[in-house]
Amino acid sequence: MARNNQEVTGWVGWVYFAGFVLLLSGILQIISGLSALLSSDFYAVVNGNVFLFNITTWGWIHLVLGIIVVCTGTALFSGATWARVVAVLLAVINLVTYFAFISAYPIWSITVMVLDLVVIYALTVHGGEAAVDN
Amino acid sequence: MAKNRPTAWVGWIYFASAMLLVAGGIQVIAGLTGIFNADFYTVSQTGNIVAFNYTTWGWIHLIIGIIGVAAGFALAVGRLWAQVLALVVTIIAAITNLAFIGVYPLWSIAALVVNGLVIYAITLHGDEVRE
Repeated sequence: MARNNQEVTGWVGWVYFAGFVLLLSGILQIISGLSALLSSDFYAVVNGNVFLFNITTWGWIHLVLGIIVVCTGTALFSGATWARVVAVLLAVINLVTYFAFISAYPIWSITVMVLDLVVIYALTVHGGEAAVDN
Repeated sequence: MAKNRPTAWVGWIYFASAMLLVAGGIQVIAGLTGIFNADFYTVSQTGNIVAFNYTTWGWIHLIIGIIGVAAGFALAVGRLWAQVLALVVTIIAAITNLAFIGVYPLWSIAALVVNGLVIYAITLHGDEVRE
């Protein structure tokens, strides 16, 4: 491992933070996906139609995305490179989304944006330390 | 040192790359808002330092944003020209964001903070990746 010469700093904690957040949101997404697939009556949708796709398709999309996010979160703990790439991209998308949301709820948006910034910093500059830390 | 051997400091260039993606994405949103939903900007057009109309501003933001996103991806490859391009785009972006600050302070400030992080990461840590 080329990164084995890297010193482990306190920032590695933020890598684990990102891992836990991804795990949590992935599990929640899997649950909403399964709800749509197994008991679509749970969602009060008229005629089974939601935005763009029907509820079953959305159920599968949530399920697959949720599984990807959970895998990414789990892999972050081992310091896997692909997990850091995916996690940084997710954080970038999240940050830009909340930028557009500033007018609706400034304090909330700015809080999330700062957290995203910290996570991106930790993952890019100190992400390799998780592999050493284990 | 072997060219493609990653060590600790290479992380900074990925940080700069991610920040440039964010800055570009932010500016694309500001641009699309100006083009398609200019009423969103409630300040009268004269409240702007440089009094183009919002459609013109929208296109300026959109184009700079798209170049910024492209430069962000190029940065991750670690080429010198990508760093130069990224710096130039970010400086231009910062100036346009500053000129736009009277229109929507929170958006401009958020964008400027991210622009500053890009410049910091590239100027102070960019040369390390070129060793």
